[in-house]
Amino acid sequence: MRLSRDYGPEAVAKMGGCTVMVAVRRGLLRPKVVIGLHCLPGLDALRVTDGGLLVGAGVTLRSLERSTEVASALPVLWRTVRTVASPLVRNMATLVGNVTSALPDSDLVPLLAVLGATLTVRGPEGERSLPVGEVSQAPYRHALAPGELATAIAIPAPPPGLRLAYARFTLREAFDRPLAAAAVALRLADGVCHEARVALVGAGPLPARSGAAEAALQGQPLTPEALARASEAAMESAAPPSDYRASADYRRHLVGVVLRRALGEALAS
Amino acid sequence: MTSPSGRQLITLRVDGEEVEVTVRPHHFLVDVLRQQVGRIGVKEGCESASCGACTVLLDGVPVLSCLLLAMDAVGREITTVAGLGRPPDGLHPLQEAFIKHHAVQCGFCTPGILLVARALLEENASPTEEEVRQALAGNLCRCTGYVRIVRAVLEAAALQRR
Amino acid sequence: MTTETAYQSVGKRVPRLDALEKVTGRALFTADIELPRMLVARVVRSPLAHALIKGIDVSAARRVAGVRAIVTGRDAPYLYNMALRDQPFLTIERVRYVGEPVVAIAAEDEDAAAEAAELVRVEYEPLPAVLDPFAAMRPEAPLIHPRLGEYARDPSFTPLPGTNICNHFKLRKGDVEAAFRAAHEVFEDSYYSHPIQHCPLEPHAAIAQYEPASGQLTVWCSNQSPWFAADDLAAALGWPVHRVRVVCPYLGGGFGSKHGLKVEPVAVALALHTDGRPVKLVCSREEEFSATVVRGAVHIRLRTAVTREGAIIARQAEVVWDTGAYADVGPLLCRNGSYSVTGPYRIPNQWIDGYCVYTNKLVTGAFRGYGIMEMAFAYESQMDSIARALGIDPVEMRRRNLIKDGDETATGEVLYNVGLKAALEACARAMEWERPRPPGRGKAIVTTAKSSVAPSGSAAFVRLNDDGTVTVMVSTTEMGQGSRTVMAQMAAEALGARLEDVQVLAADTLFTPPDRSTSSSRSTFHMGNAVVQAARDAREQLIKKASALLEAHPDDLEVRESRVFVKGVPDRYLTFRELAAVRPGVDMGPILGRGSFVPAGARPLDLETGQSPRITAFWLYTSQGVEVEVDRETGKVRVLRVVSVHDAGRSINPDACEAQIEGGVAQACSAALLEELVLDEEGRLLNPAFGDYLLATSKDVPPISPVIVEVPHAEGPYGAKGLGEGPTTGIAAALANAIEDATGVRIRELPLTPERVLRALKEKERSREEAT
Repeated sequence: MRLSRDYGPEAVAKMGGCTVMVAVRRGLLRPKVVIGLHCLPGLDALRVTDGGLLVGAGVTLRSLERSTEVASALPVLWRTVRTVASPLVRNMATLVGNVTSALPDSDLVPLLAVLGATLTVRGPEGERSLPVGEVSQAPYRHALAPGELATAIAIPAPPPGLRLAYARFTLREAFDRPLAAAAVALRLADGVCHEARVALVGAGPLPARSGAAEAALQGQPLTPEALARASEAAMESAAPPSDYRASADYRRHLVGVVLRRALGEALAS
Repeated sequence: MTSPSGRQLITLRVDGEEVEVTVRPHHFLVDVLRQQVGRIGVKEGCESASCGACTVLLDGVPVLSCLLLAMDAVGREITTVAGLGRPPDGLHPLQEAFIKHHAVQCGFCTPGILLVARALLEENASPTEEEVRQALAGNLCRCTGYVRIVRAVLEAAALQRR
Repeated sequence: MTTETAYQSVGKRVPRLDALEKVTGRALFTADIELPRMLVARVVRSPLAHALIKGIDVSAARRVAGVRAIVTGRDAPYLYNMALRDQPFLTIERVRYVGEPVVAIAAEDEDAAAEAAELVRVEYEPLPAVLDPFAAMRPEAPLIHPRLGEYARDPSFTPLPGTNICNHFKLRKGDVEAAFRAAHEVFEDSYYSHPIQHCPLEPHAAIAQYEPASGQLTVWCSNQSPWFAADDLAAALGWPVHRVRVVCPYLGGGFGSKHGLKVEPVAVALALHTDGRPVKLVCSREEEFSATVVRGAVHIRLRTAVTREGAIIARQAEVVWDTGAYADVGPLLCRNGSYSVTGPYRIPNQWIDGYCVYTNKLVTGAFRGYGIMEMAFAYESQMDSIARALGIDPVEMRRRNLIKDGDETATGEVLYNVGLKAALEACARAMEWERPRPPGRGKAIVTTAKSSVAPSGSAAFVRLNDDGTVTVMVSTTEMGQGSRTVMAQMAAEALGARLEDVQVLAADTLFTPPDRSTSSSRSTFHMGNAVVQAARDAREQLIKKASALLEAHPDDLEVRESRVFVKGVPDRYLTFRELAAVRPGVDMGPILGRGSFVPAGARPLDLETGQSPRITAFWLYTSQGVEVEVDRETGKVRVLRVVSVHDAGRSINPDACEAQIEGGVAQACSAALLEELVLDEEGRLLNPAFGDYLLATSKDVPPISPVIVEVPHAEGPYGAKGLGEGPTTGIAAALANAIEDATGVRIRELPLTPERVLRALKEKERSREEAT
């Protein structure tokens, strides 16, 4: 923490190093100091706590993939982890690292967001936690202050009967970031939606909750028309980035498709 | 002990051997293995962790040596393709299968793929074709279309089960 | 299906000779070579697409500890490129593309080189850049090569000085206008093939060493064509060729990207200033994408006249090749590709203009297929469009037009041993063409033809070592295609040696005799012929010697299993070992077989009409089929399977052939569906990294069925033709045609991204709604 604070922007901390070391190799980041965190004790904990999950900063995606507890407690998260990047990257990358990398198209952030996950951060002033959705300030810029280190992600136990689903669209069948993705968490009673959480990739510069989609679902009987309306609401309120990978219009279209698919999966689950 | 240039002498354990190398803190494992430990089988194909040519096993787990600082590998067991088998008779079944099935063309991706495949078979003795493709998804090959690579891995798995 | 042979080695699925080295990670590639006192190089490159150099300040860079040499273009003012000598080792007075080398540094280690590179200061005066070939062709376009008329050039090309056109290829045959007037229907369409990169997994690399005391330059490099490189370097430096030695270890893939000089000139420029110390230059992947070579964009306008029965009677084409900032092989691509825009069809009237156009972008070089991927995308897409418009089955349409033995090509060459029909029928069978398609699926079958240009020569030595083992000395380079193995197979066969007694050397111009290149799928045919000749020469010498020693007539002797036997008397023989040694009483020295091959009767093309009685050594005949499924919600295309049929003439090693087919098909699927080099408006590459530039992974490649047919070539070794490039040629068109078959939409631009497909689907829906 002291190194991080003292060197400020000239220092960068790494655990698995997948984001940081690539940036260094490509000459995009030239830190004076690289702080290796993997020797720090106590960050390797992966604990299922009453159906929720506590994931220490040192826990790799590989560990999550191979954990039967994660597979049974949070099968959607487990399945999604297996599609992130490549097996080689997953063997080194960490869940906490994925979140603090502030990726514009992280597969894990939207899912963690609709689960209500929080990031535990320790700094010179003490410990705090912030919702996963608030960790990214801008693409590739996180909200941690100099001297602060992320130590864990806490995923609260999903309430009983929560329907969770994640759908993504990539150009390549493996090792690709989603052009659009939707994570949904629904609580239903008698076919009526009591609570809806929707987080999207591709509707803006960062993965984010879609208030418009959530409003379109909340309190509604979830008929096919309601799902279509939610999809349209998400598309209309989207301000997707446009780049060489896809135009804004196409991303907008895909947001609608993946949300419809995720909602369909959630209802079927 | 660090010299004024920042160079340090460290010991790495590579393919069962202890080797002393001289590194500066920012030197990557891939370069140290290639230049100081003679492991030319560890290749460099990109600088964005995207091709898998630099794959080594770290305590048995396939990782990208282009992302590891040499110093971070101290105290770990590093296995390169040289640790798979000894030519000409002591080859690993995977190596034999690759030869038999003509699964090698330019050979640049081969060492990395062999290591990933070995780790796969140690965890899963009967992978399906889908599982093999999934395990290899981080290793790019431009020559073979992966066709014979997948075939060779499946055959090696079958051979090993016998 | 390959024919059963009575041969010992040829036609057999022999394991690769280099497999053991490669599966143990011991195979040596250029970047693996460490030499005493070797320096590492770093290149400072232009950030601008077009600019004058006002000043270069390396004073701070020179002061970095460990820096041993810094060179600019003025320190090595040499020009290279065999077709049109237009490219400096390093920029001399102006930069012409983002990434062009401006300053090169040689230092004791990477850290010093990187530090020095940071301290180099270059002052540029930007010039207007032209990034589009059509803009570059306009009269008011800024000139990228104002001195185009002064460059030394191969006389078979016609650059137009005062323009940005470095070659204008013309083909005039018959009377197109009359044919167009008489036609039942004329189809006119434009097609666009996108820029891609070869992405060999091994980036370009070179080590150069210049010894001032002997004047000898040695270059170890990941280069496909050592003699081509040596000749070009010597011509650039103004030296005799024997002072330039080029050594090529294993290449980690080439696909054309390593044919011709690429990074060698920069390494050489440094080596000339390091007092004998070798200099190693290895490209980063970013440099590989943005500063070595690409397959540039090609625009084709195709106008085709047909009879009511679908016979093509005329074709007019305009082909615009975006060749980038320097010529490289651009003029040849323009010629060979443009004359092939006919496709594998019999077309009596043709009018073709091919323009090779400079733009301020990275250089376009050879890419596996040498223009035919782009040509076939156009002509095979149009074949299906025509077939559908006329109500003719697309396969039947091809049957009616396919060139056959005795027909003439666009350039007026009469062809024989044409395996097109065999390939097409094999493909149609394997694809079950007649079967109705399930809904949502589409199928397509295409046929292509790619030529290997003549004349080009290859030479080989087959040397009996003192112990009777055999060394084959060829300059063919092994880049994964399996050349080392097939040369050994052909040598063993022609000599009568056991395969295990045969060694094939790595290419080294000091030892291995001249050979034009390893490119154009030419090596099995050209070098194979040279090897067979050399082996037969050695065999004759063995027989002569054995005849004396065994006291038998040469006609009564046969050679097999590395022994010379008296026919019918199995225990009367001499081994190669016994024959190799000098024997008292028989006045014969060491046995050395020599072979030299060039295809007979080749003549240059007429510059006005593009005609010649023979301009090719052989043609690669291909038929490919694909089946796809299109996700109508997202536009994503899923390839369900590919069948790829090739007339190999004779398959020397069926495993190697099938492997090449599988790899080429995978490469082409990846290129057509996933890949694209994207530049911003300043000409800078936006995606110079894997992950941003997408290559097919193990989960992206569809099931591929390679099929070999054999229609032997009269002049090929054992009837062999070439194979390596056929597999890439037809895939893009087949995919576009299958998409139309599945959805009714026709896409004429690559790549076939989901966004592009969806846009086409929506447009089709819109126009259908508007119509109702």
